[in-house]
Amino acid sequence: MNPFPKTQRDVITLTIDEDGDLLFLQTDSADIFMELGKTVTKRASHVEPAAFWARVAFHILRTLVRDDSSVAAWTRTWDCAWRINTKPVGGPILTWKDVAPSACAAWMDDQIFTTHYRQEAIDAEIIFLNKFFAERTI
Amino acid sequence: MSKYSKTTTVFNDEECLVNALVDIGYDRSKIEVHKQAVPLVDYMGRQTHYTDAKGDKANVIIRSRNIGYGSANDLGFQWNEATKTYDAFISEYDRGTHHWGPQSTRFKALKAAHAEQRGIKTAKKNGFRFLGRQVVNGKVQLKFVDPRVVR
Repeated sequence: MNPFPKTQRDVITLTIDEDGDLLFLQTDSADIFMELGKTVTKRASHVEPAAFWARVAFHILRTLVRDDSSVAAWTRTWDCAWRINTKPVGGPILTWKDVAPSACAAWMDDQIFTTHYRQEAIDAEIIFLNKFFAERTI
Repeated sequence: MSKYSKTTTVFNDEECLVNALVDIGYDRSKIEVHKQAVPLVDYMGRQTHYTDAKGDKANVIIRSRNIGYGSANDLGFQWNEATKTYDAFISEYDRGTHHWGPQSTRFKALKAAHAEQRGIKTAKKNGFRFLGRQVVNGKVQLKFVDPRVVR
């Protein structure tokens, strides 16, 4: 059984912060909200290999090439376990507790969440970040 | 990898601005909307000159008697053709954090209400379906579905 809540990839969440400004994750669809004011786009998180050396290689390559390059696209196809690092917004490396709190045994709560399915990691990342935007000041 | 965007709200839509003023508690009948900007006055009824020696004018106005606290001056929003936004006219007296200053609860609430109105309007204009609104930790979250995205 899949313990993860299904993410609708066509759902866009806008968070209005305490200053009345808007926060949203970047997608092609969400671009329409950029006309609402002055927009600054920043890195929110990384879905990165869980294994140390693979992660080092991943970040070296991703630093050297553009996000829309064929090399970057290739790194997304690596057959490895993936984890979610939200340090760019001041968040944690996600644990099982962050991703699926009710679906795992208590001893797993503080273990780093990993999955071989990159899309599963991205879905969990989207849910976490939208919750994080509502709960924290970015 | 994900990126996020932070958009600083500007008042750039008359309908949304008026609706936002209503959302934060002003009676619609007390909000003046003028195609041609008209003079703003202070609490004594004299024309103000905050930015214009000939007298300040605005297109969207709440008169001083309707602001909601004593000795207020008119609050106005003037359309700026160059920036395509409404500039707020807030007097020195009214710029305090307890009145209408940029860091005041009122001003932030207006920005938030405008962002919400504008977000929903923009989404609908682009064919998005509005799924709903929730308040989490005092922040409003709006959810939309883009029907063009293939699941």
